[in-house]
Amino acid sequence: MSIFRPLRVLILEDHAVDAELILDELRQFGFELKWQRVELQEDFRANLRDDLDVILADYSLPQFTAVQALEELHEVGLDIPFIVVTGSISEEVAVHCLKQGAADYLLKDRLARLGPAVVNALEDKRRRVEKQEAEEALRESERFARSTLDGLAAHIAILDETGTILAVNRSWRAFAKANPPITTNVFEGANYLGVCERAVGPASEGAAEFSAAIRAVLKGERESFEMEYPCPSPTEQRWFVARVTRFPGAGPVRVVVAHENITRMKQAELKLSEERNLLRTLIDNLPDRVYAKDLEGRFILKNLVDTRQMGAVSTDEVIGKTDFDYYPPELAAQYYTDDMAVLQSGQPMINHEEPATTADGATGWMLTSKVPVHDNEGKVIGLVGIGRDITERKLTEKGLIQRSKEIDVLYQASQQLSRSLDLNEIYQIAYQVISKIMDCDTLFISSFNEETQRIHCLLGYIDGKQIDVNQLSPIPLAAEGQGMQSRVIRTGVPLCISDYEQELSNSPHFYLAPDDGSELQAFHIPYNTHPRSALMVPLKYQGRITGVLQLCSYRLNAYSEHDSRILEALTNQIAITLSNARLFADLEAERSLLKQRVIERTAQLNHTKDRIETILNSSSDILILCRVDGRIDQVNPAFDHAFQYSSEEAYGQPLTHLVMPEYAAKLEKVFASVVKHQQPERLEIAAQCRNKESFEADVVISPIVQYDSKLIGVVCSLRDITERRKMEAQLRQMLEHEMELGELKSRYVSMAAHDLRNPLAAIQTSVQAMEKYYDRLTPGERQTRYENIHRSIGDMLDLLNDILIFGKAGSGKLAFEPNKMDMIRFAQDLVTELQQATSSGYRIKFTYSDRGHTAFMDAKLLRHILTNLLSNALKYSPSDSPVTFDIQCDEQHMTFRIQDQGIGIPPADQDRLFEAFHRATNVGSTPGTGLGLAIVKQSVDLHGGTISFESREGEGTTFIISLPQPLTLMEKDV
Amino acid sequence: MKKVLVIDDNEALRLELLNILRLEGYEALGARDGREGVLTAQQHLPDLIISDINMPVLNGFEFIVELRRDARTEHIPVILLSGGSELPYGLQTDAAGYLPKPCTVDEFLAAVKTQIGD
Repeated sequence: MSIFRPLRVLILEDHAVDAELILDELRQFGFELKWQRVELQEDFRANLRDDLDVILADYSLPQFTAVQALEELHEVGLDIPFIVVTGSISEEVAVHCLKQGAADYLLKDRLARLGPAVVNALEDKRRRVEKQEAEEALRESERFARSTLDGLAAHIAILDETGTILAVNRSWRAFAKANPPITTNVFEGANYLGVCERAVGPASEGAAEFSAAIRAVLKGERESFEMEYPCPSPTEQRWFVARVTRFPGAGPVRVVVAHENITRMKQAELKLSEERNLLRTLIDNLPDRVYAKDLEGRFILKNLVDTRQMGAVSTDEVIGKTDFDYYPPELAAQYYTDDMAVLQSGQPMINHEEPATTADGATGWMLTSKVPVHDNEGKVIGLVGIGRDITERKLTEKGLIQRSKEIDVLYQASQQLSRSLDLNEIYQIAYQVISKIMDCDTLFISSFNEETQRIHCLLGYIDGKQIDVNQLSPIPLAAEGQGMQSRVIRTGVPLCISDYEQELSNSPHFYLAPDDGSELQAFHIPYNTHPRSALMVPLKYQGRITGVLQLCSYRLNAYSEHDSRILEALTNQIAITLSNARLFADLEAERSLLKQRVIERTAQLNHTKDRIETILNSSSDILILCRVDGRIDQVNPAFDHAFQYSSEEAYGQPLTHLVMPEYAAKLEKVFASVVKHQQPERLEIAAQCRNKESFEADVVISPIVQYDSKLIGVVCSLRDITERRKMEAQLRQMLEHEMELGELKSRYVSMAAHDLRNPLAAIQTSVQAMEKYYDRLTPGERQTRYENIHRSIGDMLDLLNDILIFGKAGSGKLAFEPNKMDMIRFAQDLVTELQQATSSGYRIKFTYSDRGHTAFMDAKLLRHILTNLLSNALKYSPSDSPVTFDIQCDEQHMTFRIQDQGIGIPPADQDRLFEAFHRATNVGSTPGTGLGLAIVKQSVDLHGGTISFESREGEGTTFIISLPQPLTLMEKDV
Repeated sequence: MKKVLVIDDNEALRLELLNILRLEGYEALGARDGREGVLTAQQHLPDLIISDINMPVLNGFEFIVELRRDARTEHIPVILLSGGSELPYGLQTDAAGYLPKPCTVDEFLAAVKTQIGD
């Protein structure tokens, strides 16, 4: 044999020669030996190693035996083939050895069998080891399968070809225990198909389907199948997936049934789909344009708004396309540049205003934000964009900035104007304000004189320089429909001329002055200016047109309707300021007049006082010298004059004869007292003259005492005090009158001040609110405040007007100046005026008698009377009730009757109706000054007429005025 | 929110005061005269009332008397807006304070805040 197999041998042999023989035999058989010979038990044990291939042992040694060696080997636990090699051996011994675990035995004289015996023993050991390993592997495999199944969360059952459950895993068992109604009796040994087919209730259909599917797998019609099914429990809606898989390969038919709880996945899926739906609905319903683009700028998402704005029919149509497919090239390029900036930098672009176009070709503005989209690793994979159409806002902003500027300027103007009462200053302010907010290459303010029918230029600016208007002659009002200024004056409506040249070609350039026939140039000709457009607004004062403000620009179409309104508002403001200035001037005049009157009265008083003093000084006292017994001794010349007695006649007469009998006793008593006490005393008596006339006299009776204190006589000094008494009475009366006047004045001043306070408080509060909250108020709220201020100023003006008229009447300045007039025409005009002034004026039903229309009355006063009564009737009655106004004439009187169906006058107020500042308690919030009826009363009084009324609260009031009508007299005069 | 009732027959002034109060964060109610003021106060029970004196129907003094008759409204402080001449009479009522008319917005707000705070 040429095969050399390595063999590690332990040989138990006491005879070295025998051992050598045995080893030679093995070498010859082809083994390459590594060997060790031992004789003793200790050495045997010491050399037992698991790398030994074979042990060869002599049966019997001097101190050891093969059987003992086998025992030793077992004890150590090594599986090494053990062959007994002996000189002789009996059958029993051999059997014993084999029983003890020896692999073989052979005789020393038959060594040729040794090689094959070793080979066999080695082969046996190899098989033994292999079998052990296989068994181990099987056990491990089973353990692996079992643990794996039990470790799975899925509920798993293994079925045999009949559908009977062979095994279930731990999850299956746990689920079955936890859900007894669903999974009764589904453990090992039960037939799962039967269980499924016997299922009842809502899940039975699914169970039957499932069972059929398992059968198909069992029959080999399909390898596996999967189905999802809902599995409700009392606490939650659960979802399961069942997988049935056939065992692969040969062997009996087996299938795996695995149920897996996918509720969480299902819920997540549902939630995700809901969210996706919500998101889609959200972005589709956003008013903004929403889109997403990939790295190349291709659309990967679009909402409905954006799709529509782009002019595409459906969202699908635009997916994959780019801005270049829909927008003009420059716009698309700009968008692309922005997109790339965001994609490359990874930085969002927020609230970027950019131009935009819509499908219908309109251009506008968008507020766009583009945000990069990152994947999980933070890499930019695209962008999301949101665009909002801000075209409207942009336009509004532009308009608002302009409006805000105008309002600012107007506000400043109103503030400046309200501070100014100087005419020139007012014009300057007007020019500055107007030039700030509109074209103002030339500006002219002219006034219209109704009497002369001429237009006077008051102020002119050309190219920012004020010109000397005195160089401009007044021009006459042009004929109807001609001349631009004249048209504005005639119509009272602003005129906006967009092309001035063309307008001029339709208007006469020159006016003929009626006086001298010389040509006068219109305002637009001087200084060779060439305006292209113009705006003219009327200046109005108390409803009458007093002039024109004319603006020109070198541009065409420089003025709009809006400019016209602003300019009108401004001119109204100017007009109010102007009238304010006039009213304040009037008030000032009134005040200085009153002052003048007080000075005059004081001078008068002083004069009176002088006169009294003169009288007293010039007429010396009456002096009477009496004897102690009371008889007259001597008198002075004044006595003669006063008593008309001569000195001689008086002599010896008792003093008591000089007084009225009723004073005699008093005089005697005082005389006696003076004589007795020698002290002067004073009394007043009524003296009696010779002609029995009497006068009051102040008497001082003084004793005349000699140096030795002896009373030698009595002197009576009489003073005629009649004149003085009269003077005193006169003085007292004058003082009282003056005091009354003063009181009246102060009462009116206090009431007027009080009533002026209300609108003033409103104005002040509005102005301050404007200052304090200007930024927080909307333009509309600011406008409301301007209107409130205007209204309050209007209220103040009404009140001031009434005070002026009333003041004039009170100071006797309201003169009665009657003129011949056509009463019906006058009244008719008045009614028309009222109708135009208030929308409710058309309620007036005017009737009159058909004769005696000519009257001789004061038109101004009559206007006060009728305007006040008619406007009261309108004011204090429902807006749909009629007001009747009737005029009747007879020979002596003209009777006016004004009747309404209004709120009436409460009885308590009727007595004080004509008192100034008194208003009835039921007027509510209807505005009024409380002066109207006082003015009416004064005007009626000045006519020498009467006024009366009948009124019932809630039913209405009738005023009847009767004015004397000296018509016949007048006609005679005529 | 504190509630303030403003009573004044001058509509422009009343509306302006109401606006200012609202801008300052108060709830503001208005009435045109004392009678309307009493009814509004009973209905809304404001924290403070600012009333003009010289008004139709019920004047400021009469208004306070009416207001104090009702247990619900008797404690509500009233600030009277005074044109000046009524003050000697006003001093005899139990008004919580007086404001001259016209007064500045700051005086007005200071008076309101003194009574009921911000």
